Amino acid sequence: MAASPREEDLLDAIVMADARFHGEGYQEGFAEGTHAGITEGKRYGALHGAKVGSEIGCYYGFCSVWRSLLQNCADEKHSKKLKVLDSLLGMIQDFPYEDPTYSKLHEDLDKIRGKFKQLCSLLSVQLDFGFCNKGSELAF
Amino acid sequence: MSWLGAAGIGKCSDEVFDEEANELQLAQREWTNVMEQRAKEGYRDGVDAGKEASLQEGFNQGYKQSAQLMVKSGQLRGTLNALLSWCRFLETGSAFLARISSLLDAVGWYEEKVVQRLGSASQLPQPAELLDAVQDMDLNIDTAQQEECTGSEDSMLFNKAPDPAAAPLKSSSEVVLPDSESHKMADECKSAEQNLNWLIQQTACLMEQLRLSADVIQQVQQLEN
Repeated sequence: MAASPREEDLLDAIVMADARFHGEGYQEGFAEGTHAGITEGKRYGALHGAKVGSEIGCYYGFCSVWRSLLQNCADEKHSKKLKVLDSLLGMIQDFPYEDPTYSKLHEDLDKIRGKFKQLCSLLSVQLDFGFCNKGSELAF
Repeated sequence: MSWLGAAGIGKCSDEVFDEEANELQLAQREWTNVMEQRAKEGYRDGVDAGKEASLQEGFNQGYKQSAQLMVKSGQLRGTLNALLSWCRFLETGSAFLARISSLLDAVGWYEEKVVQRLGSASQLPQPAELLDAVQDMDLNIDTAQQEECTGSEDSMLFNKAPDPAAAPLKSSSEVVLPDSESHKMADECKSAEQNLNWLIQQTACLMEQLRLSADVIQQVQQLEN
């Protein structure tokens, strides 16, 4: 039994109203959600970025000073240390620490950490373990 | 509980359902409820979709900004740690240890404050705000710093960072920001930036005294805003 055109219109109106109300709510919600997502994402991103930035900066500062100190010594026995320092400084400078989309961010960071440990034992520097990445204890 | 009454619950009378007019009203109310429900569902779906679409972008923005911000204090921390380990090797180095340690503590404190702010504030300070903050900073600190550099060593050994309240700041009304919250944040930025610059200057002084080469001292000085 076919519905009369009038009934179809009415049915359409009901179905459309349903979609319209949903759509209006959706649009409003989407704008709100986008704003909230940016804000929330920024906060999480900021905490992660702070940790990585601070850690990488710390390695860089540490290596720069030690390199300068050892270079001035002009002692043969420091050549191995200087080699490790140069290689580590190169790794740090090539590391795009500020780019969260870099796919090997964690991989490279771990390599830098490993190299840094090696350097510290070469320099026989007794460091409080993880003095450069103490940030990892930050609560998220 | 007015809704109990409106729904006729709790009353013996069922007059609400007796009249046709009321039935129509009830149907209308039901229709409105259903449509409100649909709008609410749509809103919820929209919020979820909007969040999902923007979280990553927000994360990336926040990550980049704060990584660039914190790499500076990190570098200062690394520099001080290197000086600390170097001074432990030197016979004459022990005189510097306490001062390096207190500077390290101060850098740690600064970083902690910045991270706290990042974790609570919805927005990172914009470069423009930071620029204002730097421009508004009282330059007396620089001259005081110069005097300390050339002055007696003991006096600068255990100096703490300048008290933000004691250092006169220009009125924050010069920084054009929309609301009081932003004023507060700009003020916090000012004192934080001020403290970091002060720590950088102190560290550079220390490096001069330890006779480090000019290029590595310059590297530290360049951290200053």
